[in-house]
Amino acid sequence: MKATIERAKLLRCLSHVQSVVERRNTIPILSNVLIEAAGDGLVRVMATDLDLQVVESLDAVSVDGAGAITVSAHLLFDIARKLPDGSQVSLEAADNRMTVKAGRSRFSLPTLPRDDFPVIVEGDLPTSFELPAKVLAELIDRTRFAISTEETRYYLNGIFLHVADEDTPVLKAAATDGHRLARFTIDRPDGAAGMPDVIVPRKAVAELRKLLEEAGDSNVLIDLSASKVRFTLGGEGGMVLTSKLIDGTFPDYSRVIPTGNDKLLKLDPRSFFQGVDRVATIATEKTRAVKIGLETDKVVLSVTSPDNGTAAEEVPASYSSEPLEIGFNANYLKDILGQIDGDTVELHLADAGAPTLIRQDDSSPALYVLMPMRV
Amino acid sequence: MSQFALPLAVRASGPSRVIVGSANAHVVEALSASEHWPFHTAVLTGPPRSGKSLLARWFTGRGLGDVVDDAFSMDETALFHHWNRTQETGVPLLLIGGVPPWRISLPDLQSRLGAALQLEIGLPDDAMAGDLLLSLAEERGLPLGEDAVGYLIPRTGRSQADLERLVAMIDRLSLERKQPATQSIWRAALEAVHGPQEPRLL
Repeated sequence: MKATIERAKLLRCLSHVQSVVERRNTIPILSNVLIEAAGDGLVRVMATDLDLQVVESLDAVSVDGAGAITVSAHLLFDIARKLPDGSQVSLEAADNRMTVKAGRSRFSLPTLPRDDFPVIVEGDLPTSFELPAKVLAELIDRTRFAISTEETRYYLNGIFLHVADEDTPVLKAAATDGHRLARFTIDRPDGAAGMPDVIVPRKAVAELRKLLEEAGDSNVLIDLSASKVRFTLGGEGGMVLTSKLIDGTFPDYSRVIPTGNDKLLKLDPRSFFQGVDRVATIATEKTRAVKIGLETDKVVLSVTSPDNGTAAEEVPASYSSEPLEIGFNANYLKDILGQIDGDTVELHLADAGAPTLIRQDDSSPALYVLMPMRV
Repeated sequence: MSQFALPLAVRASGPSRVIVGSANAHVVEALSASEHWPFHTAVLTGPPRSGKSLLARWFTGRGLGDVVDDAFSMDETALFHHWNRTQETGVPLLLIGGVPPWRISLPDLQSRLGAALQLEIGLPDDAMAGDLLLSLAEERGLPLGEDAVGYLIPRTGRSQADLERLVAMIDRLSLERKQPATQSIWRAALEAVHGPQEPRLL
């Protein structure tokens, strides 16, 4: 194999695929990327961790010999990063080595044969639909912060996607860690009817989100079965991310979304966010609890810390129900408020121990449920 | 202050299987032979949460006969008519009688049901309690293994309701603390359900 590639293209491509590769691997070839040069000048770069694989194509300046080889992903990425901007990088594989040449630099890297490189068998992916890249990016942004990181409840370690028939057919994305829940609803895309319920793992979500940065206004093609999902993105050359899905049952989350919370608080999400952020400065690292006192048309935020003293701040708000005192984890509250774009946010409360519903308004596609802390 | 957990629901479909063991093996056996019941009728009683309705669903699911769930709270005259119809049709009738004893005031019904087959679910032994614990955990999506059974079963009550409360508490505490359900959580759950094991010194 011999190919010459512009450094910027190679670097961008490697930056996408290298984060798929885990830093430590018991199987040596999983540390490598597969580089495949075709006679027509197209070079494919592929990385995998056995659960997730990303393939990206780029145009080479020239391909003088078709072929394929695997080399260390992180080494090649670090080299490409340090090569001078605007240079052309020549990759040539021979005698179990790959030579990387650019300007006056020359590297010779150990390789492993391409035939040993594992590829995810996709099988049949019967459900197929398209989503604008921007919509998919928003769907991820609005929900991913609530994904659980507690590994034993593996079925919470991803974003749950399912279709439902309400007034109109919809596609919903949901994530929860048992303390908060985020849900994002969009119209059901053509082709998604009858789609199996799937849980897309956290790492696949993170890698996909990175690729979406490059996708601009294009559409993303999504093909899936009950066990695998494939995202095909446009952009230059094209990027394909294939992931196994989490084999588990997501809880029936709709039952924790409160429908009868009668106390409505409305306020500016930014001043609320900043107020919470300020008083939480003195909260101890472990609990991060902020007490919220609701009175007629005002909110009093306060924190009492045995080590750091006390803090309080008043935030103007619209509230007309009976006074209520409720505690929240400041970081959770900030996570959610950070997702609200508009000038007001609605908090629907019941009592100090019940799930609180947070949303921009009743027409917003995103909805959040936050459990309070014991005050 | 500590975090509350979202009340993420138990799977709506109920348990995926019936755990059979010392408490209910004789009941399952008798239910399977409904064609031999005296007067085509059996009365099933048992402690709260012991799986009476679950067995009733299993019974109708297999087409073994008719079921009247919560028969003890039903109008006795209506129940008596139901019993009479059963004598005509010959389709086996299983009555769920709640927690024993089931006091019946209508003398006719009392004598008829007195002649029916009496089935009572008992308390599980260690082996069955362990199986129940794992089944209850699975229903909640709570990862719990054999080591948990070995630790918890000797330390908790034997009734089905106790086991259910314990599993719910482990689930809640592990969600609240965002920690895997390991021994520290088991211990805290036992303490929350049964009170502290020993008086604290300090």
